[in-house]
Amino acid sequence: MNTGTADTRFESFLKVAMQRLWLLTTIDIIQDALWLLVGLALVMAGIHFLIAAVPASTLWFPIYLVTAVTFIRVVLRRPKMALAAVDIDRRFGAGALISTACECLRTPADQRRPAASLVIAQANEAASQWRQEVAETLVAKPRVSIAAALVPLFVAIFLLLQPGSTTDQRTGDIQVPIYDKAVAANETESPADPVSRLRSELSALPARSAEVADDPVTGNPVQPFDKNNAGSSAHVEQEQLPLAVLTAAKSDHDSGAAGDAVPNNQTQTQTPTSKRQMQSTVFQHRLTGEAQAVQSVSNAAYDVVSINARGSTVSALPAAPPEKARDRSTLNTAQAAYVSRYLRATGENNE
Amino acid sequence: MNEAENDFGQAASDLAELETRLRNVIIGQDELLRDLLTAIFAGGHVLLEGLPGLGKTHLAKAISALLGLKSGRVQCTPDLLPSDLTGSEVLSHESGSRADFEFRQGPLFANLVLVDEINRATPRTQAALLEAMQEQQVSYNGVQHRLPDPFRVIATQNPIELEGTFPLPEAQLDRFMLKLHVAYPAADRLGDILDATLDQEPADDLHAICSIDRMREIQSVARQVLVSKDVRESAIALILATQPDAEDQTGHQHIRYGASPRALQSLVRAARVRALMDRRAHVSPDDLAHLALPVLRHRILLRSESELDGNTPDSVLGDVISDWAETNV
Repeated sequence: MNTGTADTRFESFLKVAMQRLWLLTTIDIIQDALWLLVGLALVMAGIHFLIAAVPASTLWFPIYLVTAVTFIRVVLRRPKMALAAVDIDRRFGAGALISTACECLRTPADQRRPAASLVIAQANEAASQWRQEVAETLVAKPRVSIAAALVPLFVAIFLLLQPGSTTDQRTGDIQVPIYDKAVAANETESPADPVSRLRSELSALPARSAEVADDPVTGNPVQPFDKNNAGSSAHVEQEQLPLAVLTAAKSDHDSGAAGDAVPNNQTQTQTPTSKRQMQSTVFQHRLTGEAQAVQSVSNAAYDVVSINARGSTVSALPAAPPEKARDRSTLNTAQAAYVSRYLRATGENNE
Repeated sequence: MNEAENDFGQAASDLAELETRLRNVIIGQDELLRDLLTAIFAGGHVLLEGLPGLGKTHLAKAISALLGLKSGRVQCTPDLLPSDLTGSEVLSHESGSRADFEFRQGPLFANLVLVDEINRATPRTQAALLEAMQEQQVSYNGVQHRLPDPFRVIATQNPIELEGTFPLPEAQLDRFMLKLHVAYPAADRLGDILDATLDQEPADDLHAICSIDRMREIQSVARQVLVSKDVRESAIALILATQPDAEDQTGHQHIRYGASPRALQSLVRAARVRALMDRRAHVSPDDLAHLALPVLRHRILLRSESELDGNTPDSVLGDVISDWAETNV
């Protein structure tokens, strides 16, 4: 037998088997990499929804990393002929025939032992029988596991493209409906938002007494403020200055709820026990100071007061003061301040 | 390549013929006969353990007859002296010459020596056998006398009636290549035994089909059987698996002393002959797996607590070999 021909045939068989084994190994590595990527993507999606928003573009980094590692693994796992021979022996039950023949091939022909040629011949004979089986067994078949990995991967990518858990919903001025929510959300803690803080302080104020105080100017009982008749002569005749009240109407505010008004000359006697209460007390004093010009307190619903973000109040346009009240030389400080404010608001201030 | 193929083919055929002839004489012990031939052609000694009356002596006689070997037999007793094995010097008178001491060879000077009930001999006598088995020579009065080549010892021992016996030391046990258990024949083979041996002894009519020279040639061919690197590493892994410090192995907690490197040599040599019997020019891991138990069972020592738990070398080695076979066969 031509030893060279036998060597060549056996070597070609080994090379084909080696390439097929490498292909199967590569598919295994790709499958592992795909599942690793699925795990990373799902973790990122979980973080995106539970902790903090994660941009979908950050998924590219693990993709690049896993791809690079996979490529390196595929290159390093390229089988050597000796290892491929051992693998074939175990797959087909050859009992070390292929690996022994492979070792003989690596020895120069003139240095081989007498049994080497016999082993190579036996290996060739076995290879010719297994060539078909190798072609059928060592073949890359579609794997369900790889297809199954694509589903969670696409789900994770889809989830990453959705808005995360911390979307900014702040707006500029807070109107009443939102104001209600701010009050409800900040009832138990000191809110950072000045508007919300103001509202909470307002809600902490004691309810306005049902009794009205006497008008400090005229000494007459103060009549409830009627916004519908704010400019009526009845009000003017009573020489009452309409109330400039800092208020925040609630969505469920009824005509009797006027807890944001402070009775005239009434101060908070309660000893503040917290910063919030202290703020409320100070605020009440301020209200008291401004309310010195209040001549009437009404239980009716007040107009919505627009409050800007800094917390300073802009009272609703009050009723016009009586004509004689416009002569501020006859008014006290608070009354004069009120009239001035009115005139500024109406643009009539020409002083 | 044709010459090599012829040599291997002829050697395998002769071995198969020997095996067939032996099976006609010793009935119901096919695997035992194959292992025994393996050890003899691998250059090793064999320890047979079995109940009385199972044909151990008959077996030794049959092998020596088929191989054309000079056989010797020693029946060990407690009063057996070393010189009874090795021989001694006697005063010899020849006509016309002065008297001189002449060394008279003992029963060890044979190609195949059957040592019956070796565990009944005293340690001193066992030690005399130890030198013969290892060195293939005996020393008497400071003079070394070479034993014939080939020299094989088939020793037997009785697993029962251990009173008054002297267990073989580990050093001597290690010199036996295989320890084979002679099992009780199957029930359906007892009738065949009766038919074959009722009126005659089959071993008495045996003629040699293989000469000593042919035996040496077959041994030479067996030494040419190839052992790949992977098979070598598998054999080494098996020996290492029997070591007590192999904490990642199964039976390490039961083994006090593991197999020696001589066990590794015995394993590979015996595997070569077995491969040749199967008409292969290469050793396969299956050969190692089959010969692992006979090679190792008498070379390991179990811990006392393991023996008290009822473990035997065979049971422990069974687990070790099973674990080894998962990754190597």
